[in-house]
Parts: sequence; structure tokens; C-alpha cells
Amino acid sequence: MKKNSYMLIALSIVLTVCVLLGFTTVARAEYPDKPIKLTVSYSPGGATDFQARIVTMMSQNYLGQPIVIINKPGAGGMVGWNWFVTSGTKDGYDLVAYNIPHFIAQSIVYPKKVKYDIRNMEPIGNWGADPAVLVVPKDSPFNSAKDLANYAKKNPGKVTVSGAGLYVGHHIALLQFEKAADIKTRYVPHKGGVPALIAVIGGEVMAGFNNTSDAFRSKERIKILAVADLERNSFIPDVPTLKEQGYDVDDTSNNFRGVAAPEGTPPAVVQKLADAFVKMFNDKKVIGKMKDTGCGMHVIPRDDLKELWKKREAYLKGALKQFVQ
Amino acid sequence: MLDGIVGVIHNLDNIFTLYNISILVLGVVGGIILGVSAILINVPGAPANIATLIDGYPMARSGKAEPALYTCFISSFIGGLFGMMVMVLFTLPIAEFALKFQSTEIFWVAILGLTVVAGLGTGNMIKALISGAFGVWLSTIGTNPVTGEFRFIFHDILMGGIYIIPALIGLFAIPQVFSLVESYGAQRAIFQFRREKGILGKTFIQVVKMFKVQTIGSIVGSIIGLIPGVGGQVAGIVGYDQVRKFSKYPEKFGTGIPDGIAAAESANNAMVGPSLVPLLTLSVPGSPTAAVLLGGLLIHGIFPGPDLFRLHPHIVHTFIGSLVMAQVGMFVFGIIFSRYSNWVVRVPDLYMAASIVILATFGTYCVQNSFDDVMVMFGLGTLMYVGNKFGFSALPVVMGVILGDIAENSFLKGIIIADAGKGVLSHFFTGPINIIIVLMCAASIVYGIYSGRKGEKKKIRIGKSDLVVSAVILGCTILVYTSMKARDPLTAIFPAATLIITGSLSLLLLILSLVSMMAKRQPREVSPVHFPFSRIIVTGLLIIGYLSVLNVLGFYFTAFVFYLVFASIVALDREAVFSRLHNKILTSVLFVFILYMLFKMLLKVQTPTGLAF
Repeated sequence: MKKNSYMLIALSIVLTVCVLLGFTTVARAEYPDKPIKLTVSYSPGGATDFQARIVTMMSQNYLGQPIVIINKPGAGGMVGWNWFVTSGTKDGYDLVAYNIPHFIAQSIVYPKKVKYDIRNMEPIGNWGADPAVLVVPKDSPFNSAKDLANYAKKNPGKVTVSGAGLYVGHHIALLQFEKAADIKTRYVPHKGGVPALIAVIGGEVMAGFNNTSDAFRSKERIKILAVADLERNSFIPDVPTLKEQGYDVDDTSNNFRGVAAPEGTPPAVVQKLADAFVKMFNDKKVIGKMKDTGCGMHVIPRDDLKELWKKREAYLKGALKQFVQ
Repeated sequence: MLDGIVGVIHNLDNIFTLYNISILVLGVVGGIILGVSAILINVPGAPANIATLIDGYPMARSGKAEPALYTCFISSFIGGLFGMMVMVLFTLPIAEFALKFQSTEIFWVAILGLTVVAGLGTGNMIKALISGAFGVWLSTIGTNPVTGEFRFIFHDILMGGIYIIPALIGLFAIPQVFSLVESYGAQRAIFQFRREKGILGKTFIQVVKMFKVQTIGSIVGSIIGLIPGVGGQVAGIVGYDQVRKFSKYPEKFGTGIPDGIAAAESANNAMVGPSLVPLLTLSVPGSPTAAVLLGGLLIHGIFPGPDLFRLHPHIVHTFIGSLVMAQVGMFVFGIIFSRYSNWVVRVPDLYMAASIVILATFGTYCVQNSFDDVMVMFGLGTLMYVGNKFGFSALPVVMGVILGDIAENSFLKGIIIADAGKGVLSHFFTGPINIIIVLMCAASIVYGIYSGRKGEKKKIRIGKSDLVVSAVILGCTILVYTSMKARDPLTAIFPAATLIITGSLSLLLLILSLVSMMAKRQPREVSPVHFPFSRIIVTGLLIIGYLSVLNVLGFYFTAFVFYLVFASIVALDREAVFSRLHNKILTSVLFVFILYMLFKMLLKVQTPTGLAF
């Protein structure tokens, strides 16, 4: 009796495995025939995660399959992106959300630790751009970028400027501003944009570069002095650009967010995704929701995006030379 | 306990559905699971719960699981409501106060938390301090966010650093698995208890009578809750520590008295309300939970800020209402569940051990979808099991991991700012809040030394094994210290300091054990009656096997096989392998089914499927 039941169990386990194996090897219909995974290298609730969920919410209409967000945070995004290029499948079911300049800057600064660069990721489409803004506490004596620059010129290394971390858009914006104004400041990297903004609101640092969206929400408690972009921002139309104030700072520090696939994904799949994503990003519902929540939209199709990636890499290679480890 | 929502929310793939009724349900479920696992299984599910088990588990072990749980849920309720009241009544002053906590203030709060560590061990203060320093060192692994340098990455899986939840689960759950296997077969008379009639009423009166405990716990919890980034993690333990210091019988804390549970739970729930104020009034989330909540408000087109209370009062009221409802729900269902707590207690040792292994794996994996975290969890857990054998305990290690990171980052930021401005010394020691917290740190240390000397009777026990242990630790510390290299001197300050502290402490231990050997005073070693060596080895091998096929066969299928095999063979009894086989299969299937429903259906966790499912 004992023996019998044991055999029975063994048999049923073998059978189960066979059946399940059979299920997974059934020939596939046209791509995509199952949900697509999108890896986000930041925690849930953060700006990238939040926006990724909004821009992919209509995927059922454009791809016929839902997109599932998987968060893999750690080391400023490096854990998620490293995982993605080494372990992501190349069949079009594994996509990743990228952040520029973060991932390009990391590939330059940490060539030994980071396994990705613009060559082993395939751009699919860009959905958003968040320009950096220069902010100071409400009671600060500075009322323009010029005030700040003049003070910094007289007191080199005395002005403290917070930002969301090392080699992110805020850091790049400060490096550009320092160069354009010929000043020297102290950059204080924080763990994310929110703590960096608290440091400005609470007056611990004299100034900060931060996200337009976060600064806009806290505009009662800070002064927004300038936008590091080519043109003014629709959320804060009264704030001049750094360029208008006489500093040669372009949109390089803009935090671009979009979707990429691993290198080696079939070209037909990449093209299909690229077409579908641009349409999806331009969906009325998506645009409406992004606007309601204060997130900047900036849709860039695949071909233009390739150029943008290359341009950014070339610029960052020069700007970050002193930091390469 | 509501902090448990964090773990649960991490897994929801659809943030939009989150803000309906589910947040309430999940908060209630999460809260109950966390409290129960801390008290009944000795595994805290979230940092907030670590203080609960100090007295909760010993109390449950002594047969008082049910009153322990009642105490836990009643105190949570009292503390939770107190926190909400503070939040509603003092919203604006709280918001202003929270902003005063900048890098130096947060640094001192973290140090204050670390001064609590010394008293947390099991008797031996030197070992507790070594454990704490080890925890701080663990927290420095990975990338340093301020200098951008990598430290101590012995293997690629450490690149993201050691995350708190995997460390917490590993350090508590894995030693528990091994000790269940060890004690298998021994008489478990301690857990065989009869339900006492009217115990709920008695406990209720007892808890309400602990007026002082609840008040101190709730006030400390509310104050700590205001501090962005630190509050949620340490409110429970600091509240516990304060209550103990003000108690007439501090020596009884840790032996399983209800006051300990009440202190920890009232404090960690009182923290919830005030911790949400910066989010609601300033739109700056102070914790991961708050960040997810901010997302939920934004998605509905609501911008939190000073005007939120004026422009959208109904939203604020609904929000506060649902938090209160969650507290009530947790209270009611917690009390109902507690009646049946002896079901959990009666689960046979090996089944329980297998369940803990599997739940620890799932719980760790789903936090950041990372298999690396699972490996780190088991690695740390195994190390902790060995450490436990030599008198080191997990609590100081966990405190070190949590606070080390906060202390270091705020310290480095403070240094940079001070360097550009008024100088390090004056930056860290000016401002009323800094001075108050520094004084509190000093008081905490003085109290620690004083009470340590008063308790001289229970002397620091030094055994023969300590000679070897301290020598090994000293050797490892020197090895790690010499292998350290940093480009930026700031990168090295914290690791170097912790390593030097660890080294000197282990040297002290070495000298003390040498002296005690010289004195020929053979101390009484607490040697285990019998140590089932082969059973422990088999357990270890099974866990290694489980981990290596996890990704190949799929999480759920492997869980089924592991559960069945573990329950069958770990006893190392030929008779037992096939006896009651149908029973084991039924249990395994049921367990995996519940697992699947919970993680796949409710939380929608994506686990690697591999060949099977």
C-alpha cells in the first residue's frame, strides 16, 4: 500500500512537469501574445515609476497585450540596468525604462562596474522630459541666477547646491552652469529629488537644481530662479531660462525618460514596438493624465532618439572626464 | 504596523487600483501578519516590528501567545489613534518642525538610535556592540550615494548594497529555521497550553492599566515619526527603550512581559499619523509608503500642499478616515485572529521550518524582484545562526544596518555643507535640536554604563570559545581593513571607523578571555545537551538545493517539492520518510495553494517560472 501510493505520487509529479513543459513550448502566435514586462530601475512611487505606469496604461489598445511594470531599484539605477542587459530576454517581452543622462553618465563614469551603454540597448521611444530648475529658499537674498553667480564668484566654493544624486540631470546642469558663469560651488548629492528639495526648503543648502514637477508643487516655499532648458516651461511660464539670463546652458541636463529593448531583439519586433509606442504615448488619455499630474511630455520616435543618445554620450564623455573611475 | 503596507504595495503592478478599497484591506492584513509573525515565529516582517519580538516571542514561548497578541493589537490601536490625533490637531506646527530636521539633526538621531544597541544583546555588552558595528559595516556595502564610489563588492550580487528587508528576514528567519530543526523531537510542553477563560477581558484591563507605558510609547512614537526618513524604522525600538528606562523594573524587559509589547506597539503605530504630515502639507514624502501615497493623490489630480486642507477637505477627511478604519480593522480582526493563534503555535516543527524557508524566499524576492537579495538573505541568515551559537544576537545587527546607512549619508552631506560654510564642529553642534539630541545621546550612554554597572551581578560571561571567536573576528576585520581602498577620503571615514571599533572590541574580548583563562576560572559553558549535527547539515544542503533549482523549476513548483522533501527527510528517520505520506502531500499542496493565492492572485508578484510554474 505504502509503496503503491509513493509510485502514484512520483508518477503524478512527472506527469505534471511534462504537461507544464508542453505548455511552455507550444509554438507562439504573432508577437506579442503574452504580457510584456517593463523593468523600472527605481522604486515604486518615484517619478520614473509613476510616469511609466501612466504612459503604458493604454498598451492593450496599441499592442493587444498589457505591460507589467517590474521595479528593480538599487545603486542609482545601476542594479536594474545591469540586470536587464545581462538577464533580459531578447524576444521583445523584456523592455526597460531608461533615464538620460543617468544611464549614459554611469556607463562613462563606471566603465568597470556597469555592463550597459548606448550600444547594447535599442531605443524604442521617448515619452518625457523633465528640465532641471534652479531653486533657492524662500528667504534667500538671491532673486536671479545672476545674483547667485555673482555671490559665488566672490566666494568660490562657498555656495552649496543640492541635487538628486551624482551624475544625474541636476548634477550635469550645475556643471554646465558653473562652466558658463565661470564659478565654483559645492555640489551636495542627495538620495533622490525629494530630500534634495527638502534641503532647499529647510535652508540647509543655499540653492539646488531639482525637477520642474517637484519644484512646481512646492512653489509656495521656494523661489524658482531659472530653467535649464532651451525654452521656458509651460508649468512655470514666468521663470526665465538660464540662456535668457546670459548663461550658455542648453537642454543637455534634461531628464529624458523612455523605453528601450536589449540589443539583439529581432528588428521586426523593435520596429513594431517603436511604431506602437509612439502612437501610445500620443494617446489623448495618456497626454491628459500626464498633464494633470504635472509631468512634462516629450515624445521622440526611435530614429531621432538614436541621434539624441549619441549626441548626449559625446557631450557627457567630455563633461564627466574628471569623474571617471 | 501599518508600515507593512509598504511591503505589500511594492508588489502591486497596478498603482491605479491601489487607492480604492484595497489599501484598507491590505493594511489590515499586512498589519496582522507582521504582528503575528513577530510574536509567534520570532521573525519581524518590517523594521517597525523588531522591538515587538523582544518580549513578544519569549511571552509566546512561555505559553502566553494569546494574551501577547491581545496586548499587541490593543496597544497598536491606542498608539495608532494617538498618532492620528496628533496629526490632525498639530498639522502645521508638525510640518514646520519636520523641516528643521536636516542632515546634522538626522545624523544625531541615528546616533541616538545606535546608543540603544548596547543594551540590546543577551547579556554581553561587548558582543552587542560588535554586532552593532558589524551591522553598520554591512550598510556601507555597495555604492556610496554621496561620493559615488563602490565599497566591499566581493561579488556582483552585492552591487546594490544590502537592503534592509532581506537582511531583516535573513537575520531572524534563518536562525529560527535551524533552531526549529535542532529542537525537533524534544518535548514541546511549553507550547501545550489551554485557553484560559475570560483571558481577553483580563488582558484588556491589564493593558489599559499600563497607562504610563502607553503614554510614553505613544508620545515617543509620535515625535520620532516626524523625522523624515528615520522615523518609521526606529520608532518601535526607541519607544521600547524609553519605556524600559522609565520603568520600575527595567531588568524584566526582554524576559517576556506585556509592558515590552505594549511599549513597542504603541510607539510604532503612533508614528504613522505624524509621519504623513510632511506629505500632506508640503508634498514631500518622508518614507517609501508616503511616496506611493503621493503617487495615488497625484493620479487623481490632487496636488498635496498647504492648500490641500483648504481646497480638498473631503479628500483629507476620507484619507484620515480610511487610516482610522484600518486601525479599527486591524484591532478587530487581530483580536479575532488571536483566539486561533494556537493553531499556528501547534504546527509541527519541521513543517514550520519548511514554511519559514519558503516564505522568507518569497518575502525577500518580492521586495525588489531580486534573486540576489534572496542569496544575501540566506547568506546573512546562516552567518547569524553561527553567531547566535556564540552569543551574538540579530537585533543589534539589524539596528546597525538600518541606522548605519542613514548616519553615514547625513554625516557626509553635513561634512560637505559644513566645509563650505561654518566648519564641521560648529555645524554639527549648533542649533537647539542638535544640542538636545546630543545631550540625549550622552544621557543614553551614561545610563547604559550606569545600569551596566548596577547589573554587575550578571557579569559578562566569557567562555572558552570566545578566545577563538574574538581571534577570528579580529583577523577578518584586519583583512577587510587592509583590502579597503578609496579615492575620496570621505568614502573611507565610516567603514574605517566601524572596522576600527570592531577590531578594538574583539581585541578587548580576546584579552578578557585570555585573562579569564589565566585565572583558571572555568566558566560554566552553556553547552547544548545534544547537537543534531547531521540534521543541521541536511537542512543546509536541502536549502542549497532549493535555491539552486528555484529559478530552473519555478518558484511555486520548487516550493512544493521542497516542502514535501523537507518535511519527510530532515528528521533523518527511515520510518518517518514514508509515514503519513498522504498527509504531507496534502499539507504541501495546501501550503503552495495558499502561497499562490497570496502572492500571485492578491499581490500579483511576478516570480520566475522556469520549466514548471
